[in-house]
Amino acid sequence: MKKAKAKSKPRIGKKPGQKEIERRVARPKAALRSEAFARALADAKAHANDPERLRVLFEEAARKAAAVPRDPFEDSWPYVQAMLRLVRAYFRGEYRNVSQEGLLWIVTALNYFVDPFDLIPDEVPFLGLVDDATVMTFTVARTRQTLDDFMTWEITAF
Amino acid sequence: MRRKRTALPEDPKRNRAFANALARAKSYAKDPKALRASFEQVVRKTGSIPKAPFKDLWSYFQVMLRLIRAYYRGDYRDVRITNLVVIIGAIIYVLDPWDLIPDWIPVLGFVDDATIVAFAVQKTRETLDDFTAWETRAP
Repeated sequence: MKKAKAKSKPRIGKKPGQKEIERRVARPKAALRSEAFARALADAKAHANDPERLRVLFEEAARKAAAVPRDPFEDSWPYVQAMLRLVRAYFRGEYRNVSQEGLLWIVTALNYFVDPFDLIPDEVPFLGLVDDATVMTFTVARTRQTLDDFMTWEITAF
Repeated sequence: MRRKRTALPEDPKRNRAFANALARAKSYAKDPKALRASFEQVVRKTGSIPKAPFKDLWSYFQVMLRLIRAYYRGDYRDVRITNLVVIIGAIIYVLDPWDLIPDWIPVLGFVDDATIVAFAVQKTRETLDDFTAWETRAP
């Protein structure tokens, strides 16, 4: 039954089987080399400076963040939330103290996060968000200073 | 009262300095006005605290600060008092060596700040995560 349901949806690439998913979970770095990540990055490069696109991305990502389990993200979860607030403050013009590179990584991570058909499709029970968590951990490591600066601004500016 | 060094500095619950911070936090938790009077200036100075020892928990510490601020401002009150006490206690403990909390008796740091924050996060993660979710929902 599930297969029939899946067939009706438009899909990019093949639907991975259970074995393939387990293999992908076992190699966390694979998420960063995936087609989905390249797609997220290309999209970020094209649209990271468009406030309207950022607004749409923020809303979509915030909705998803409220719905998905937090456990796979462990301690990087508050940083994921910080990325969301940073993007919101950025497209609103409240906060612009972000390097182009920092913004690019953050938008890429959020693009990947909202993509339901990334390396491990998000609908896969228990494992669907493992790759998203890998991408987030990677992005936090790259943009920690940017995110910390933003949070310091949040605390001191108001 | 005489304070002793505890035998098990790794366990925050058995730590005198943290116990004191919690006791103080209790009176703050019941009185948002006093909380505001003590924290308003303090919170702004936290940028000068070295972040490195906290690692990823730094972001949770920031969440605690924003939660306390939203609490005393009356923007957000959806916090159980026991969780609030732990959060305020952790903040007092971390900020104490910087003499940022007025009228607070100085104590020697027995447990490192990151351990205290880790303990507080472990106890209140749900509360903190709910608060950040509220932040992204808020207009």
